[in-house]
Amino acid sequence: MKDLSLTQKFLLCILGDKGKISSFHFEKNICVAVCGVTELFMDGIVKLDGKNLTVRKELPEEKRFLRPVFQLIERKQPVKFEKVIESFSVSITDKKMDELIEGIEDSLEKAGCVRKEKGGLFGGKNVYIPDPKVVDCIIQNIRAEILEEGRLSEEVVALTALFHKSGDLARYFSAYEKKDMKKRLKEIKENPENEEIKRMMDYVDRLLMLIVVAAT
Amino acid sequence: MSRQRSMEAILASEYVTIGELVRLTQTRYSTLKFYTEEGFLPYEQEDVRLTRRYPREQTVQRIAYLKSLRKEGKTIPQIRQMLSIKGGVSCNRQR
Repeated sequence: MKDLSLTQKFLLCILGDKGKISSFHFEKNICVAVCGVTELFMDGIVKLDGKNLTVRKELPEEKRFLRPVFQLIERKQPVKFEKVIESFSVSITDKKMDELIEGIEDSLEKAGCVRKEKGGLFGGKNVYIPDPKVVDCIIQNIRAEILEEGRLSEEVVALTALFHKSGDLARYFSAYEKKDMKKRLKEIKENPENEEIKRMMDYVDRLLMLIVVAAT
Repeated sequence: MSRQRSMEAILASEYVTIGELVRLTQTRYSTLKFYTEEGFLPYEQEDVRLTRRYPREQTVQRIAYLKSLRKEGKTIPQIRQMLSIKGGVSCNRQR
């Protein structure tokens, strides 16, 4: 299996058989942006100081698909995590979010993990059909860590928490497995080592609630 | 908490986790778990609450062998007999 980054893995797993995220599922888009910031943070490219994000080092070439997130933080630093996510998710046009997602999709195509096709309602949009074998390998890898005893890796903690927020846990895990996963998610929440990820996920909850309230 | 290892690091290491075996062999977790519990795969475990460590080369070869047997149409009881495993825990080692 190729070495894919956190955001590449997350997007690949939520694209679905049609190769796109439905615009009705705004929570999935928000989670992609959160995942992008989380990856920059986990790689030490940005720093979360209290509530503010600042750039620590240059964005490596192999992470060019995260440029939209990186540039926004670089331009507005110090900037609150909330503000970064809102810039992508709460806007009149979807320009920023589309740029981020298309960049990740193109990187996945280069890695040979998706097949680019024309699709959408009138067949005029690019869709990226995931390679089911690569998706399965990512999910099996999560399963292997979450359902086994022992320490969890940062990637698996972040992916599980994001799948939980994006509503994709049920797609990949059975009711039987979810019982064990709930136990592990509780452990993740209560572990002080996961404080930053927990804060980010709490923020996703608040933002989703605000969007639902605004839409109703 | 640690990061996942790159494929390069996994391929250079003597022991791997079950998650890394998933990545190395493209085999489903449930299959590896089943093979482990059947005693088909060798592993070491310092404590029952700690991660199982599989000797990489030996385990990857064993998985390839198991896959070839399954492809030939061998059943699990037949494989168990071929590997001479009784009780399903013959090749693991707890320290």
